[in-house]
Amino acid sequence: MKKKIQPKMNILRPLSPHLPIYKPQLTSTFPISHRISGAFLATILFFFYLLCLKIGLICFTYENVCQLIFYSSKLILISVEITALALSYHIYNGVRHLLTDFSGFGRKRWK
Amino acid sequence: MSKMSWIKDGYKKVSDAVVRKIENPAKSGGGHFPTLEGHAAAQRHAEQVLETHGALREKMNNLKKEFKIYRWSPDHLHRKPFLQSYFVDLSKCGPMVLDVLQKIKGEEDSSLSYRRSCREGICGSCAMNIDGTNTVACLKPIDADTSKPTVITPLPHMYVIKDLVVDLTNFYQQYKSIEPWLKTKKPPPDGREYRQSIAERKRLDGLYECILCACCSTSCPSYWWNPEQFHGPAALLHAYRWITDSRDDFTDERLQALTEDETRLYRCRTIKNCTATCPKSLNPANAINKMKTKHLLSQPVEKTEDQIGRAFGES
Repeated sequence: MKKKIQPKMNILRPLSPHLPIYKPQLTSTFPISHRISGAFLATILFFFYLLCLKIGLICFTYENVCQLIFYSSKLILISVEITALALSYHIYNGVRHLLTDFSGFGRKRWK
Repeated sequence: MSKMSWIKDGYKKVSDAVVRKIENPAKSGGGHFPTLEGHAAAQRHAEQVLETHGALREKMNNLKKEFKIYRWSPDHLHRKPFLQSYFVDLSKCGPMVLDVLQKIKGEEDSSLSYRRSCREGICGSCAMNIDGTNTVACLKPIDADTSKPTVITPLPHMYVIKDLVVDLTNFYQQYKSIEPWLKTKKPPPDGREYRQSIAERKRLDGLYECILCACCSTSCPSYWWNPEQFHGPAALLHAYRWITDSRDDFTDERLQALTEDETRLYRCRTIKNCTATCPKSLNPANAINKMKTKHLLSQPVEKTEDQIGRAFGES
């Protein structure tokens, strides 16, 4: 952020505000929520893989694991709903993205 | 029966008092209407009419709107940037935001700094962020709702020189780097001028009108996070303007210069904030999409197979 305009003056210029003041519009909220839902789905997938496929059935002999599953049973319902929302949104937005990005491929080209 | 009427009277009295309190919290006396003696409801009605008429007249004479304007001065480096409030009477001011800025600078605070030149939306100097979106101040009418303040800040994510003036050297350098001039390999066919059909000239509509105000580039979050590498929608719109120009012979070289690495053109994530904010209603997102299409379609199949062959160790 240092900007030398004369050899003796070092001015530290501020950056004008961007995220706090910019109006959230439809055009800008779609891509960022696409990214956030994609990251969310990736973490869910990763933890699901670790938890269900890698852990082995021996874990159910431990008392704490059964307690954990019992007490978090309501939470699982909510997180499944949220994951379904994220997945559907991500898919719809992905299809829309593909359609708009490749809309120029079928047209007649001038060169 | 008498019990019912007592309850009804009491209920009516309470509801009237509550309604009066809600509708005119300030005054309870109101006006005195000698002709309406004995008609309580009519007197109340007349009081309400008087009060709304007074409010309307007051609003017509004094339409004061609050403007919160970003201030920072290099003369007072220790002071952090802040939003300063100015109150402007809208009935004595022009309709556009630039008129408000001129009025404030002329009458109230002459230290307010901003760029302006043509006052008609063709030079692009007065570009700033008004109420959350980037536009040129001379084309943006004032929002007449006087209950909410208008927030005016400089173009987002740019280094501030003073108040609403930002440093646009990087933006201009990017425009220069796409070489915005006609480059030809052959002299003109009849020795006089490079001719173009009407259809070919129509391809340039929507591209040449760009006034380089920097509204679109500074609204793009991808440009905020990578200003040195990503060219920004304004420079890319002009790059496409030269690529589609039928008189220009260096189309392939221009495309190749843009797509050499993956940051100059392909950092565009089709967020489309640029199209939403352009004050001249141009469509940079469309132009960038066409350039990407052109680049992706221009790779002939034989060349890619040859490249794959070389990658797998064959000669």
